[in-house]
Amino acid sequence: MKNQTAKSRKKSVPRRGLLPTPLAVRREVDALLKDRPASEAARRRITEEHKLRYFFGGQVVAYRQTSRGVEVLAVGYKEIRALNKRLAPEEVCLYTIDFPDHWR
Amino acid sequence: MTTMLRFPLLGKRLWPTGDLAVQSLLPLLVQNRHRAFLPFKFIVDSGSGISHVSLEWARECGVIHPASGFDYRVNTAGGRVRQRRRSGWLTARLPDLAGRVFRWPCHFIEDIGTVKPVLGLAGVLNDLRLTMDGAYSNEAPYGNLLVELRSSSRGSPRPPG
Repeated sequence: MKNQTAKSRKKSVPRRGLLPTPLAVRREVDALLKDRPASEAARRRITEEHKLRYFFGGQVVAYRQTSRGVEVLAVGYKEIRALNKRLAPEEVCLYTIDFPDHWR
Repeated sequence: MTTMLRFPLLGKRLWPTGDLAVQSLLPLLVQNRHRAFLPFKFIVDSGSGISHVSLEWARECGVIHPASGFDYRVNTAGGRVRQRRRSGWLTARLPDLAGRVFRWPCHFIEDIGTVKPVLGLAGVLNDLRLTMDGAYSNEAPYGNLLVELRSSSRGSPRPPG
């Protein structure tokens, strides 16, 4: 059962671009901010951090912040190396390489 | 005037208990062997005497690391653990203080896989004043990490050679 859940989530992992907000993330953020009301911007930031955990927990991922949320550019060292080669040095500073914690 | 940077602390609930955990993350630009600065998020850990990263991370990102290592026994919350480490240096900048380059001692740990790099205290406190402030605000519900450049900073100890 647990494996099935993991498998079905893996299938729906968006590999690049903007990330959708799964219901589980929405619920998690609601619970986290239940007693600590947050501004719209703070809620958005916290939601984006949790989305990275949900989809890419335990992996290395490169992403950048956009006005529409986090945009995933590369997943795994191989893709990140290719990304670094594509970008000019001044562009490299505009994204972040992170290791999101496991969702569970 | 002292520049103070604020980085919101990250709250998360631990599974399966729902216990609240708080993490302090600091974005750093780390120089690699091609002299390019790559952007990473480090965990700021006031319980770590020295910064540490995975050797795999250093290799994959081209960060200069020593060729030979040593056995090290480290006390963790989970007990005493034996690790194979290499003793080197990190060259880093803060994205918002682009003019300053820091060199901090760092251990590169073998065989720990993909883990977040950790910023410990050695060297770092010579250059930066770090304050974890849990005061609630709408913008940072779990508080902030406050980072100030130490005006009296004499810099980190120079690496040998």
